[in-house]
Amino acid sequence: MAVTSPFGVATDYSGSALRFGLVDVKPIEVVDTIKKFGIKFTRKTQAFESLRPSESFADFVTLENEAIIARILVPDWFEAERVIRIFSQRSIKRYEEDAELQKAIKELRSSKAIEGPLLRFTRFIINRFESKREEYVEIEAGRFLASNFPLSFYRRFIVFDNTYYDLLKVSEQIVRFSEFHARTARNFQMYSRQIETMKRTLSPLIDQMDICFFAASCLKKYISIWNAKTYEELERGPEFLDLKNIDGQEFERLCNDFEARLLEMRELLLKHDPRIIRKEPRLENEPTAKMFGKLVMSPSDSLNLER
Amino acid sequence: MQDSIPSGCFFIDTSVVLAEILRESTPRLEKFKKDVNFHKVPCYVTDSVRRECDSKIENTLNFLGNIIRESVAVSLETSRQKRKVPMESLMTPEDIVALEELFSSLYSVTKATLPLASPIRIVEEWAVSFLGERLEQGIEISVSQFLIELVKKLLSLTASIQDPYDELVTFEKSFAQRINIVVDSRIIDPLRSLGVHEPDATHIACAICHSMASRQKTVFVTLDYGSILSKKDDIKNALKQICCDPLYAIYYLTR
Repeated sequence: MAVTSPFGVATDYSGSALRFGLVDVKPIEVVDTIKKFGIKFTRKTQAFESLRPSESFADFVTLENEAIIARILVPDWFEAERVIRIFSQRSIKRYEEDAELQKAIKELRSSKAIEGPLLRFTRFIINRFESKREEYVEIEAGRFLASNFPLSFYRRFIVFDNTYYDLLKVSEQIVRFSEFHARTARNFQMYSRQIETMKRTLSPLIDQMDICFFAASCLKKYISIWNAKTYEELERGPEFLDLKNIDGQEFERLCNDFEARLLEMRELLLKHDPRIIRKEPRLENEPTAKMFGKLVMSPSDSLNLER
Repeated sequence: MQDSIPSGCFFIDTSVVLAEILRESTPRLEKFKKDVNFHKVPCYVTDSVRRECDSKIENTLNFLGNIIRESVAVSLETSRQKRKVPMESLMTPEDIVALEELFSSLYSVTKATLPLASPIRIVEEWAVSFLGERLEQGIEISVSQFLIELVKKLLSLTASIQDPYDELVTFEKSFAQRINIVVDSRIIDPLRSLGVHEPDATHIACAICHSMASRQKTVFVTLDYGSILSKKDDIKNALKQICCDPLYAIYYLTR
């Protein structure tokens, strides 16, 4: 899972990390013979194997980028094929360099079920996200300062991050419950059935998060592409994002699509756990909340500097 | 005091929704919510109120963002250029003095009727206090870090209020429900002539239309003293519509 991206995509392919770790896995029964006090015993344990070949991440991101580029307008100074290649290679490189995630997935595949590998993997993703959350806000803040887009545009990406965090917490509950029941199953068939039930519960959530992430990627990549003049600039990410470089109608379409997908995601999460919207807002930074409260309550025309 | 069962419904104003999601006016709203739940009084949010909430949050955020990016950043840079201090250097009290000049000039371009309540003054207090506290604590901060910290605070705050907003308005999981009212424009005009501006006039007109269509006592609940509550007697006399503070709302339905 990427920590940063040239356009501050906070949770780059995070949905796919969950999918790789929790949905695209199959429980298998491992039978081995152990010798204790000179007597041979047969030990049966459960492990997980991947349902996808290991090279499929590259295929996955390439396909995703092809779909993104097919959905957005590309300026005539760029070739769509090369743009897809640049974006895909960047994601693959980041994934390959991400030793922490590779290790977690490897551990998950080799772990014995008794240790609760799925829950441990989910917690690994949660801990990692929590440790980077502040950094993600900082990336968006930095992007705002290096652009002429309104601040409200960047707010939706923080809401997206918060929603992704809610998904992680809901996933943790589902995995904890399912893995606990699976571990107490009498035989491997019952164990597998429990894991399948968990996957069926998680799949629609992860699918919807992927749809939402796709909409966010379309929006961010559209802005990046139209603000880059060369392939080199596109590769490292444009220095400044200028609202004037993009088509207003296309921008609005992509924004509306992202907003709609985000709302659908939040609604779906709410069905799983009503507590996700009952959190107290982060008003611990009191002075900012108080200041914002006073301004938002003041007459709208007082917030106009162009007089 | 003789008790009677309240009958009717409430239409809540933008000020009530915003106060609820920002946890402002808590004792008043807590009592109001308790009354609504206890007496099971229907409480509605109109589309016009929802639109105003969205635009107020967005406009306030953009107003603050623009001040930070277009004014604070530029003035600090200009002041440092004049003083021949590189931008990478850590911030000092001299930078705070540069902010004083900036806010004075910004203040002069805004229409401020009450100087102390001016939005510019509010932003000034927030930004300068934030920087002053860090300098007093001996925390080293560069200009770019300072700007990023201010923006981060705004992004975190406004993203975190999405949950209570969705709970109350989008998903209707709190004490209110959304309602779609077709407003009769003939009701808006007399409100305007009483000095009630848009979109407040539309919000109140929605309550009046609902009251006429449902023959139900409908109370418009607001925390807006300046534009609505100060004219509540005129509104009642001209249009028979009650507008009141959340603290007293339930008593208008039991009278």
